[in-house]
Amino acid sequence: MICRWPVVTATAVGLFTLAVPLSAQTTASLELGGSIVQYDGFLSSGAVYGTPMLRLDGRAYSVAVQGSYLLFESGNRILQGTTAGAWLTPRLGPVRGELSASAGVTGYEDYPSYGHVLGRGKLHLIGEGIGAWVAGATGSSFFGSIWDAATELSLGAWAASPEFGGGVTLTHSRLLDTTFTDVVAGGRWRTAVGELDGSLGIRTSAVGSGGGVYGDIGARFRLSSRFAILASGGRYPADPVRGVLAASYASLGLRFDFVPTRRTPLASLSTALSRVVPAAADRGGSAAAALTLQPSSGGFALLQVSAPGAARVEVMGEFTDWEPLTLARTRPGTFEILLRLAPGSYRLNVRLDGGPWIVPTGARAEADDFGQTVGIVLVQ
Amino acid sequence: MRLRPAIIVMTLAVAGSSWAEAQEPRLVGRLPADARLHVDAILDSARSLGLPIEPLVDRALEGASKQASGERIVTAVRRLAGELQIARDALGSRSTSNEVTAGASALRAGATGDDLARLRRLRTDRSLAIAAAVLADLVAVGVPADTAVAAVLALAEFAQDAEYLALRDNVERDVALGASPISALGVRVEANAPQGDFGATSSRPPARKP
Repeated sequence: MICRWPVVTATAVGLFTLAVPLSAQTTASLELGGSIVQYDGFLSSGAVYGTPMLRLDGRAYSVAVQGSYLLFESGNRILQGTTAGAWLTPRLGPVRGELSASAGVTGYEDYPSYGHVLGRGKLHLIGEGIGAWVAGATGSSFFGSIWDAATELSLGAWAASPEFGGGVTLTHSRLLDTTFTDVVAGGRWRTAVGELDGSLGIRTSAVGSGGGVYGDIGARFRLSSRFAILASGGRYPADPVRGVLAASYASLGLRFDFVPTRRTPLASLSTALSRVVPAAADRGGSAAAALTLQPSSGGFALLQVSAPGAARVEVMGEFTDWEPLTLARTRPGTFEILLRLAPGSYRLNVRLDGGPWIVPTGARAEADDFGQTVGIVLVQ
Repeated sequence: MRLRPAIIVMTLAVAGSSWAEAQEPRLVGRLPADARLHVDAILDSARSLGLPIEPLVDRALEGASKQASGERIVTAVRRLAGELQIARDALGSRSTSNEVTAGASALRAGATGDDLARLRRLRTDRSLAIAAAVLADLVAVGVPADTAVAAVLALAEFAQDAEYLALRDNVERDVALGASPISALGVRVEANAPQGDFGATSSRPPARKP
């Protein structure tokens, strides 16, 4: 078991050495927390954990290393490490290819270690807010000194907007004479303060791995640019390829980002959900209203707000001396006003039916100097 | 450079004795009386320094409309005045009000005065307003400030405003589709983030019996 760790460590270091970019975006974090976990066939147990993670995202690749140390109330410990890298091909129309590899090892007391080494090819079909993919993976899974061939075939489809996302995946896995097929549906809702996600899966056509329904929910709330609270719970299935036992769990953790970020914290490494639903941008705008600003002739610009269900829409901003201005309703759910605006950026807020002032989708939301948010739009 | 705002604020605070000569009519009835006196003093000082006044008045009106306290409004206006001063110094005295205002936004997003000065040198005959505003937008969508600065500067010599806006729109769309901000900025086309098999879920306990 011990002899596996240098292999994984060398792989991780090698990936980073090869891929450390001049202009990569680095995500480095440490998550500390506690869990209550009940593995199938065992009593539930409390545990504390620490999870360091380092991830680099470059122009067309991602490289990540994650470790995990878990100390159970019994005093037993688990040490786990995973490293992965992915490279995206140049895009050809709506199609893009992806090659990736991952390796992981789990050590538990004096037992032989579990682990896996997998290579994967993936073909993405990408549209405007929607996408689909098909993938195949092959490699080996080991338990102690015994190595077995493993294969996975999967396909998925997703749709996403900055606020909402959802999708479904179908994965067929094989390890020796153990085969199983998983269908997983997932969804995500992102707000200005955090993110909720959930997934629900069913294992069918199982031979030698058990079946059933599973799922979990998670919430991530950012406290500051460096700290976030993460909570999750549910049930996940056995994964013979990676040596994962089925379990039910509840976890609460605090994550510290070494590189400050304004964005909702991503899961440390990709999850079942993120394989279903890609992460989406958070401009911070409200989904209740969408704003567009179209240049018009004579130095004018047409400000249009789409707010289905609203009877009245007002805007206030630098171009109204911050006095509310009611937009004309041109058709149900659509409101417009023609403004004389020189090229530049403008601050504004929008109000629907006399409610609170919000930042509509289509404007960049940023904290103002008054404890609220303001939208920024550009006029060409 | 970091000390400049404090120096400017002090300058603005002591140089406003003639505020009464230049009261801003749009503030009358919108701000508490005490706050209006202080804001008028800042406006008068800014005027004497050749800074654009409009964004300062707008900031005060924004605070008033959002029912902020007078103290908070004065603080906001004073802070913006400092940023405008740095931006105007970096961009040059011939810069337009829009350019200086956009430069101030870029400073708040993480750009430095040196970055703005370099942008000015690279775009001597074109407006900087959109370029500087796009820089702030890129940072807001998650691109690290130094990378956003590098991207905006890389395009500065030849890009039209429309191209900057297209860059911004493409990056935002890519990120919305799942690309990492820096990846989206790099490829500037719709893309999907690498989604390799990265293993276990964070905050989920590892497998094995306890």
